[in-house]
This record gives sequence, structure tokens and C-alpha cells, in this order.
Amino acid sequence: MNDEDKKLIDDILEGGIRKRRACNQLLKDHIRYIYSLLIGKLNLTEDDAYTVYHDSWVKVLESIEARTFRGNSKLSTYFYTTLYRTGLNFSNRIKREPQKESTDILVHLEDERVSPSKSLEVSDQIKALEPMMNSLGNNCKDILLKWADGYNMKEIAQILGLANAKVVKARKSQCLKKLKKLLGL
Amino acid sequence: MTNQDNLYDIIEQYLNGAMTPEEKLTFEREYDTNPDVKKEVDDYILMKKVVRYHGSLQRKKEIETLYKEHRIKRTRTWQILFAAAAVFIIGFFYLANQPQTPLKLLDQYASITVEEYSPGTMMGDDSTTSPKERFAQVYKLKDEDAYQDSLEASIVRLEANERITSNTENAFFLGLFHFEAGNISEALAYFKKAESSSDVMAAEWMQGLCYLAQEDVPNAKRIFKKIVENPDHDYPDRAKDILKNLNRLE
Repeated sequence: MNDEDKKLIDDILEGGIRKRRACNQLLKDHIRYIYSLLIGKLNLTEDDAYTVYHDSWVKVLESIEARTFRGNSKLSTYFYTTLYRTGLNFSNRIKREPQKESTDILVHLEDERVSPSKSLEVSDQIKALEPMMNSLGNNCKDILLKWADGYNMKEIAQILGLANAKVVKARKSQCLKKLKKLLGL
Repeated sequence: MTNQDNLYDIIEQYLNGAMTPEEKLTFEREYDTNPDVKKEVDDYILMKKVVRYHGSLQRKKEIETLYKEHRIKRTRTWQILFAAAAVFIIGFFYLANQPQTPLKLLDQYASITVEEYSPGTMMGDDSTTSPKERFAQVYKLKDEDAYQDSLEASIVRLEANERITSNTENAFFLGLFHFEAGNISEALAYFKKAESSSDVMAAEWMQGLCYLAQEDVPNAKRIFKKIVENPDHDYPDRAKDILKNLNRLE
């Protein structure tokens, strides 16, 4: 394994601020494959390419954290292969099953293949999601996004510069109550 | 900490697989039998999904922005490279098509020609009298400070010997001595004399180079044209090249 890959992987496994930087680095480093592979070779639309790229990025991160990526190849090669397989599966699924019509945002939570812009009702619900999240305030949004990404309380405290894990836990609880109210649960 | 906070902790432990088998069993039984617990758990999972979905939409926007920046940067890089290549190609053809001046042509052809007439294996001492042999010896000093003095000393010695100067066969190499010493007019006179020797072709060629040295383009063209028109000449290609450049000067 080369030094660059080793450092990136170590940072991801370390967690906290180093993990966040490493995740961002991983996202940026392979952006060129969107055109050369996803759009150019697999003929995906730009929108679908972003979805596939995002999914592949998540898969690569998960395999690094689960230590299933052992460094037998370069990280960029592994990323490329993951991107290719994910893109191909995505493309084949689109051809086999035409897009489902759904008016429920929950369907989209389960099936990211469905493009939000195709259904007016869903589009409205999804459009409502951003202002709803924004109405929580930046502090809540930051905490909840990091929590949903799988960071633990200690890591979130470190990344956001909060005092300790207890503070984060308490704030997260308050933010979830707000969100529950906004979602009408 | 409220009961709800405690419940959220427990739900997190369950979702992260951080429970013992017994704890997991207890939790699942509670979920199945207590509707309030079930609702809290379902709501918690749904909220996490909603936030994660929002996060993925945000990240896709970020990917889109990064991608568009990358495309702009790439396009700019290619534009710069193409522009640089275009400038290079245009510049190359412009410079390559610039006609060479007589002196540049002389620089190009004089040294290779003179070297051809001075095989380096000639041995001899100072008393060697043949101009050809003497020239080969002196030419070995070409890159040294003593070269010019050696040329002039040889010219004095050889021209003092009437037997040498009266022999037409020696005219060519006497011309070479003067040419190398920078005495172009004297060199030209010897090369003209050498037209009636066995070195006639070489003498004609060297006349052409003398005219280039004097920047006498009409006479240079006359000589090189004569060489080009002679199918048996030794230097038709070189003469053609020089003529092409001289014609473009006009």
C-alpha cells in the first residue's frame, strides 16, 4: 500500500476531524471518473452519475471502516472498480425496471434509484425537506447530519468544537424533538 | 437525562449492534409488546433516514459543484494547452520558413566541408611541404588558440615556395588555408585557379562559400546554380538547399 493511501485510510479509521477531512479528500480525488467512466462509458445522465458516485463513495468508506479493503490494490483502483460495478448495476436496473411512480417520500428513502424530479408530489415533499432541515438551525443540522453519517458523540464534539460528548448528546436529543415536531410524528 | 434520552441511547446501541444477545432479546420483546416503545423506535429510525437522505442530497449537490469546477478547470487546461500548441506550431513553421542569410548558410556548410578535406590521420613534421598534408596537420589544431597562427605561418611558408604556388594541383589547398584564415579574396583567387585542377568540383563549391562569406548573393547563386545543373557534381543537394534559401531572400 502506498503512503498516500495508508494515510487516508488511517485518518478514516481514526475518526473525528481526521476522518471528516479524509472523507472529503476521497470525495474530491476521483471526481474525474464521473465524466470519463459514468457519463462517457456507461452513458448515465449527470444526475444519475452523481447518485452512483455518492453511493460508491459510501461503499468505499464502509469497506475501509469494516477493514474489508486490505490494500491489495491502490485505493483509486478500488474506487474505480466500485464505481464501475455500481454504475453498471444502476444502469441495468434502469433498463429492467422503469422508474416507479410514487407520491411518498418514504419510497425515496428506500430506493435512491428513483429520481425525485420525476414525481410532482414527491418533488414537493423533497423540496420541503431542505427548508425544514434549515429551520432546525445550523447547530442542529450539523449535529444531526454527523449523527446520521455514523459519527459517535465524542467525534461530533471534536468536529464541531463542542465541549464534550455529553453536550452533543443533550443537543442531539433536543434537535430530534424539534425534527419530530416538524415531521408531524 | 429524560426517559426519552435513555431510550434513544438504547435504540442507538441496538442499531449499532452493541447489545449482548440477552439485551437484544429484551429490547425486541419490548418493541413487539409495547406500542409506545415501538412508536419511539420507528420514529427514531425514520428521523435518521430523513436526515441521512437530506445529507445525501447535500452531498450530491457538493459532488455536482466539484464536478463542474473540475470540468471548468479541465477545459481551461486543455484550452491553454491547445493555445500553447498552436503558438508553438505556428512559431515553428514561421521560423522554419524564414530564409537563411548568406552568413548563416556559410556557418552551416563551411565547417562540414572543410572537415571533409582534412582527414585526421595525416602524420608529418614541420618540414612536410605538400599543402594537402600540411593542411591536414594544421587542421588538427582547429579548436586550439594556436590554429590561426599555424594557418598564417603555413601560408607564409607555402607561398614562399614557388614550386608549390606554380602547381595548379596545390591551388585548392592553398585556397583552403586562406579560407580558414579568413582571407576570403585570396581564397577565392586560389579556388578559381583550382578549376583547372583535379579538385574542380570542390573548388567550385568553395567559390560558392567564398561568395556567401562576402555576402555576394548574385555570384553565389550563379555558382550554386551551376553545381545544381551538373548531374555529376559532388554537391547538388547542398547547392540546391543554399539556392532555395538565397532565392527566398529576394
